[in-house]
Amino acid sequence: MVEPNCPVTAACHLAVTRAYSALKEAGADERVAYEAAETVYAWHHPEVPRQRVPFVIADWLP
Amino acid sequence: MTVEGGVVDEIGVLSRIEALCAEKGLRMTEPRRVIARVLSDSEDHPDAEELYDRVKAIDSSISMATIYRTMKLFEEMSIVSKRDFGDGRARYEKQSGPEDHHHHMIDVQSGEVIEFFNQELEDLKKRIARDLGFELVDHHLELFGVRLKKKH
Repeated sequence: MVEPNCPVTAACHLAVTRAYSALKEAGADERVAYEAAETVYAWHHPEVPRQRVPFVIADWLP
Repeated sequence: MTVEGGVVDEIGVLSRIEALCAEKGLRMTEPRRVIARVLSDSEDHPDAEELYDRVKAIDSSISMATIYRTMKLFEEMSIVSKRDFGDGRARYEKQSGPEDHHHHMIDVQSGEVIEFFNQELEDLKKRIARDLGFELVDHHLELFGVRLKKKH
């Protein structure tokens, strides 16, 4: 899912997927890793309502 | 079907959810079946995180992303309704072991994750808990930041 007024940037996508996978590899709980990925996305896209963020990044993460 | 007892009732409710999925032409993968079953068994209004916890007890391989994708799909296909009780997102609790206790510093620009341990911080948290009348049994901490510019 892509927000209509929020073009996905390579940097954002990379940072989100990297944060998630790095935390998982470090043994972090799934919810902790997912929340971290949400925070990273929200930093790149503060214009996207926070409640929508987990649904947006769901298409990027395994 | 005559409903007498929990098992028959459970099957009946589950069948209704699955029948809805079939009626709408939704292919039932195993994760979707588990999520549908958990939803059927829920008498409250679980959010995605609560749903994840319940699903995880049945199949630990199902991820948060799968939960969100499935809920989005179920909602788009009018299989479930989303409710907003105005309380924002549920926060989570993490189980952590004392032997490898550490925290994370996350670079929001690159996604890089750095593990760290700081005894001063650990002592401070215990002291805060004690001052509030608690013995600290668990906690987790993620710091998010951008790298400072190097001075030339």
